[in-house]
Amino acid sequence: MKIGIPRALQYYFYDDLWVAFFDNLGFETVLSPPTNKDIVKKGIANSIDEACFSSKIFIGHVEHLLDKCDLVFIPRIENAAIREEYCTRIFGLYDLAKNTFPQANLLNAEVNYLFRKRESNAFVEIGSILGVGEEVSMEAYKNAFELSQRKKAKKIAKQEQLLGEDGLKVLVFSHAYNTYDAYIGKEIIGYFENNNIKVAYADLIDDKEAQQLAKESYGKRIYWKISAQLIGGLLKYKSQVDGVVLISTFPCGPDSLFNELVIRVTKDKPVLSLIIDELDASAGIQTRLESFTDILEVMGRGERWKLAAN
Amino acid sequence: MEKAYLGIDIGSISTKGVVINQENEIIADSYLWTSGHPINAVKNVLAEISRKLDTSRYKVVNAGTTGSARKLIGVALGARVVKNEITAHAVGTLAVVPGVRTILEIGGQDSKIILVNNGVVMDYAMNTLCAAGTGSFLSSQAKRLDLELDDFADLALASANPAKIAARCTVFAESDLVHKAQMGYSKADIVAGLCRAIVLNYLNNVGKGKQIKAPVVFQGGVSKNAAVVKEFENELQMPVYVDPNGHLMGALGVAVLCKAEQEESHFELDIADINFETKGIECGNCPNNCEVINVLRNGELLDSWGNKCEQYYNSGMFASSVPR
Repeated sequence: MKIGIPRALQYYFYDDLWVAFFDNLGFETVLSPPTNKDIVKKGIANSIDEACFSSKIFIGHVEHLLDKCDLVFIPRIENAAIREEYCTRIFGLYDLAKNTFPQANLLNAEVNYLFRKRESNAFVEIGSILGVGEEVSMEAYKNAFELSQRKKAKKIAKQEQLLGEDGLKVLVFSHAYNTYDAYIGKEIIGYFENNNIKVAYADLIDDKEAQQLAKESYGKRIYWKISAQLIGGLLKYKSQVDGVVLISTFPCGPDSLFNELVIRVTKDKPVLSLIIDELDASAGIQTRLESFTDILEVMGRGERWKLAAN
Repeated sequence: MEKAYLGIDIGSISTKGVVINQENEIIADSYLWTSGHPINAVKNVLAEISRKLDTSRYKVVNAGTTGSARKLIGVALGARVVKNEITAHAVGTLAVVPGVRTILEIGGQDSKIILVNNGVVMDYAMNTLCAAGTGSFLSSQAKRLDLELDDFADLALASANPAKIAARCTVFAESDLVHKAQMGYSKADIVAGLCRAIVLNYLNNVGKGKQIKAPVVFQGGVSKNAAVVKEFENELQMPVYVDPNGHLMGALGVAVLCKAEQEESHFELDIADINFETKGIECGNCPNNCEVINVLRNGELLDSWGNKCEQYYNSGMFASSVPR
């Protein structure tokens, strides 16, 4: 039995947990490849125009997997806790995929804390669909959860070490599924790294700490789980970086609100806002990256140009 | 011989070149249409510059490029500086107006705002997904109204009662325009309303949330329209300065950056007989199907780019597509 996992959207929140869970149960997983032009094309062809670019990419990954595995794993995750909601595009993914590919064999379970459907319950349900007993599934979930927590803690520790080093640094404020996607964030991040600018990520922060920081600063809980997480990361790391980079896909409801907020609260640091859509406009992105890097370098390294101009 | 520095700005519509001396003074310049062929445009610009330049007195020791074809031309000419247009415009403007705090720019297809403090760029914004309120909108509306662009500003300035035109979106602005004409507004009032709409669109769009401080410099093709300048002054409640050489600021900026370079290289202005060629090839070795551009000078490969990974070089396509 091969279980396919689309390398898109929610995968980037749960990657280690999901893969480890199926590993622990002894099932083979097939991860779709990093997003490429072919996947993008498939996704656009099978999506409505109004969907955000990231969810179009998701649909492309699902189509890519259809003939390469027995089941495609697409859970319906509405929230991560009470009042920690995911975007409707994310919790609608199972239904979207089911309606787009009616013949597909999908593996689904629901997580919704408002109805006491916890993450652990969902994994037990998945186990029972696959013919695994409750205790074995529970054990596999617990081990996978601990492993994913340990891996995340390690990444956070590594980032904190990087932030203590010398040199120019930027903080990427962007949803994980955009930041780490080969078609969206990878080249942007690669550009900074090639120019000796260290990159930190706002989503690399402990969930509880992020919620706490965001709440303290804004007086009330932020409705969207991912936005709250990023705002927490911004508040935690802002003072340690030289600039902030926003990467969004078009159109994004939560980002249209929170990117504005970030620009308003980050008055003391340069902010670069990049919006990626399905029209391949890499020349425009290149110009913006170059000029943003110029600003960081001039602010960081003295006033050579100023002297030249006067 | 005195040292001189060449800057070339290759835009989508026009190509500009300047040569400056040690004092940042423009000693030769050229301004021509790109006409969809950047390499030819640059050849023509360089030919005009070498006619105007006193070569018995000045020697070009460094060259730089900016604008959307900066990389292509930079490689072809062996430019020492290849700089994005935002930095180039800021540096060029600083050379002319040292105290500048805000640079407004509206070009043919893009608009941007650059904020400067103490001679250093602090922040900038460019139009993102929408090109509403740029020069191409003005010129297409001028055509609609059967006006020459040169008459546009005079007519607008004559209006005492500008029509209110929706400033958010080009499509709505256009339908608004038709509606106002049918209501009986005079051409002058409509044109004045358009100029005002451009300004409001700019301030609501790229200027959103930015603190605009004096001195303000306004550049780009649209800055030649005196009615738009007046609307900016009304809206911002401060003087807006338009330099007669405003269209050359990008080229001037890279020339200034060339001057700041430590190393110098011999630069030949006469490239009329050199054959530059670009070859676009779709790699096809993976689903990304990257479009790779190879630049050749007299049949010899100078550089290539556009590939996301190394597969193109490793596949043998590279060797077979490019004569060595």
